[in-house]
Formats: sequence, C-alpha cells, structure tokens
Amino acid sequence: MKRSSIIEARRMHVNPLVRQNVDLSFQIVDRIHEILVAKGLKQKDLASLLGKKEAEISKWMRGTHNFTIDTLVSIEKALDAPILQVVHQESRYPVCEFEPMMANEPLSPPEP
Amino acid sequence: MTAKQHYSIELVEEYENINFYSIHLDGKEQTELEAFFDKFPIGCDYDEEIDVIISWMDKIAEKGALERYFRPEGHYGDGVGVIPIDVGNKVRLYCLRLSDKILVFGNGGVKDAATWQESELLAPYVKLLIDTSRFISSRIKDGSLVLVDKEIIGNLNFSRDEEK
Repeated sequence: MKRSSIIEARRMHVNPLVRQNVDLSFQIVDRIHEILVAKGLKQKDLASLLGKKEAEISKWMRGTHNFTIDTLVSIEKALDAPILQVVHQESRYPVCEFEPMMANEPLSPPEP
Repeated sequence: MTAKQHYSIELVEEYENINFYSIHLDGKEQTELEAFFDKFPIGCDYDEEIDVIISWMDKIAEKGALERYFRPEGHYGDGVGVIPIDVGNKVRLYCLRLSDKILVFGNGGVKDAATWQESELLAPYVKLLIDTSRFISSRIKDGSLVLVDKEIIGNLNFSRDEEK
C-alpha cells in the first residue's frame, strides 16, 4: 500500500500521548453516536438536552475534542447511558478463587 | 489579474478502506499535502497540532471519512472540510471529502484571520479546493470521471484561472 515518505517521516515523531488522546476521543464520540442512533436522536436533540448550541455538539463529535469529566457526566446524564467505564483492578487481574476456598474448608476428620 | 494554473490529483497514501489523494500543482516537487507538512518541521511551534492532524488522519484511515468527523468549510455542499483540531486551534489543513473512502487533501497553514475569506494565506487553498470540487462534480456528471470504491478513475488533470 502506497505511503508518502514525507508524511511517514513525520508520523514516526507523533507524541504517543497525543495519539492516545485522539484515539480515546474517537472512541467517546463513536459511543455517543451509537447511543444517539439507538435512541433515535440527533445531535441537535443532544444539544437541546444539554442546553447547548448544535454547533458546539458537532464540534465535540469530530474526534479531536478533549472532553472534561463534567462534560462526559452531563452527556451520560442527558442520554441516560454510560459512555466511559473505569477498569477495576479485579477485572484486570482476576484472582484465583480456588485456593482461598480450599483454605477456608473445614478439615475433614481422618478416615477411620 | 489571473494566470492559468495547471494541476493534477494524485494518490498520496493508500489504506485498506480509504485513499488519500492530494493536489499536485504543475512545476512543484511535492503534493500540496506534503508541502503542508514540510512547512511544519519537527520542533516548530505547532508540533502538537501537527501530531493531532496526523493522529486524526490515521483514525480516519481506520474508520473511514464519515461526514460527522469533518468541519465543513468553503461553501455549502462543495465538500470542503477542515481537519478539526482542538489544541491551540491555529493550524488549518483543508481537504475535499468525495466519499467515505476518498479524501483529496489541499494545503493549509496557520490561521491569521477570523475567516478563511479574510486570510490572504489560506483563501487560495480553500478556493483551489472549491474549484476542484466543482470540476470533479461536473466530470462525474458527464461521465469523464468516476468514483469506484476508494479510487477516482478518469481524467485527473485540471486547469483553472488563478487570481494573483
């Protein structure tokens, strides 16, 4: 697949944090879009639910907006649907439940 | 005063689901997209904005050029968009969205006026894309150019009167 050597050279120097921010912003706007579609709503409906202008919502939805927690919470509230989920330690590193269960089991009396 | 400007549209980057084309002015070594990046070398004042533009282009390459990801610029319906940047918000890169799978990039630069119409630097770039959009629409209508999936097939050479 064709690539421009000039753009490729610049691409190699992109700050990974910026890339991560843009990636997360795209995930957020795609999720908002998904909720709007599922609920049969348009961006202008979200604007009126939030008391904002449609142009502002449209600006958020382009994949480079730096969302604040306040904004995300207000969107979640307005759409009554979750957008971001926090990963808890338990779900990232599942603990083996077999061992503690064994330790808590009462010792059986020895076979006669 | 006007002068005849000749240019072509050429493929710059190809992805599985989308092609990035750019305008190549006759007599210039680079395409307009490459000339844009050349204006912002690593370590310049706009590093972060350029990082956002490239990251955004890479996401578009992955997801497709869906209309909702673009900020319309130019005139209504001509398909000219500007890459949205939420950092600093000073750098502009213009493109023509022909479909979810075809983008034609023009040039851009640092915003120096409230609107592109008022900017001596940016207005020529937007006008070039507006004219190109008009030429492409007319060629699609007369059948001399077709969009097939992510490709533009047909006569990709253009001429226009450029204001000097």
